[in-house]
Amino acid sequence: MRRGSVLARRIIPCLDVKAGRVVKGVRFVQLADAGDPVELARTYERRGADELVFLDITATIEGRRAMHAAVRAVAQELTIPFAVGGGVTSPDDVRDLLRAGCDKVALNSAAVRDPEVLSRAADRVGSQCVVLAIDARRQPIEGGFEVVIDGGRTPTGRDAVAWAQEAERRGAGEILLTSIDRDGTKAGFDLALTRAVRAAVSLPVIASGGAGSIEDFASVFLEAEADAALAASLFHFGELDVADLKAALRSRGIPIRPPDVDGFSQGLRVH
Amino acid sequence: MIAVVDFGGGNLGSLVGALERRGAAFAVTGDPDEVVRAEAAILPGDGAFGATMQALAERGLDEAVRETIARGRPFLGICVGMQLLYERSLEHGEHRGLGVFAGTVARFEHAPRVPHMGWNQLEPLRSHPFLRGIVAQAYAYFLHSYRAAVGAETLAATTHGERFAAIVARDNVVATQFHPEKSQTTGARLLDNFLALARS
Repeated sequence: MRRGSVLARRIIPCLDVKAGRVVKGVRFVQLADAGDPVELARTYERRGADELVFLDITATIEGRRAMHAAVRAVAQELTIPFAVGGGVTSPDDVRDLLRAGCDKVALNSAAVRDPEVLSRAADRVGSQCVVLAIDARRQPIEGGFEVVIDGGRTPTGRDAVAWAQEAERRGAGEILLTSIDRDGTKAGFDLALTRAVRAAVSLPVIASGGAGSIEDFASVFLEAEADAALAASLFHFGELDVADLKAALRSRGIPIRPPDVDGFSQGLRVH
Repeated sequence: MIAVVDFGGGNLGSLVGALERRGAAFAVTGDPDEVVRAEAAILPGDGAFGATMQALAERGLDEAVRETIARGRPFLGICVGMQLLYERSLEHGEHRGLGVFAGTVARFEHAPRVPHMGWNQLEPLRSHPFLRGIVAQAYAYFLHSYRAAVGAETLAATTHGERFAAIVARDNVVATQFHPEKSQTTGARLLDNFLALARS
């Protein structure tokens, strides 16, 4: 019998939400309502997702109200943790979303524009609830990775590794690291980027951008030591099932929580 | 009736949802008298130890919790709600806790990554009604940077660079460092077990 305990690497589906409804279609199962965040969240939960990220792509006040309602509804039903990001600009936003019921809130562009936002948010709600999302792009000439904001449109001149270190000092509890070069390409995670950031901080790092196959997940865990890996369309369009992915990674010896189907699949019964 | 102790600002959505799904009779309350009158109590927690202790004290909830425990009512502490049961914490300075359990809550010293964030496994150390149906190496969801050492009260340990107390119990008190309301089937079973203890 294996003894002891090991922190599992996490698999995190990411859902885009607009005005409280999931968009970009999720097509992998028969759903009564493919836009309902609760139904989708529960479906991923059943397939063994370790955590979910909801990305709010709404810009309007009404949309943000709808997002809060969706967060409250998901929190009531979901029995795994979830984070919310997108358009979060102040410590008040962070607090309000946590009160609505999510477990973590991701800051991105607003923290780059004013890093004090990150410090104040962490002081207010605790580091463990504050995720810093970094969108990074390879620097073709100088080498290294540059932070970009506004969904990748605006370069900042800031080095992604240095920004991750600053974020740790300022009290972020986790880094959600997206390769803008790889995002949507299915060419695999940017292993060099993930490795560089992971080595520079002691915070957990979620790798994002570029997932296209089981092998990509295995590489980002085994070669880049990512603590978690995030994907969106790959899961939503049924190209890869979370439970199948997790089984394949487990068979490679990667510490992965097995899908929690009946509560008795996780180990040996002792009582 | 179970009192869910509300000291303001806590994230209670998932816990409330979990209790509702179970048909539990409960009330979310910040009223110390209501806590003391309740047949059982749950102290959830996220946030810093000192700030949480202060928020409890400002509302007279620290005394209410002590009273509830002293009266032998079934009591569940979650995350910081578990840590508060120890004598003290070293999170951002030194803070006194409720002193139900001996020892100090301190930052991880040998953990590879801090915060300890994600799904880790339970190593049951002894049998207890709260652990009924919980398998060895069952996964639970953790989210914390401070931990209590394994002691006589530890029902299950977890290892993250170092071994620490994941579930503790003494007399009428049980507590988890992780979040049962976020721990899918493992957590569901623990909540069921607590509700059974609260009914008995």
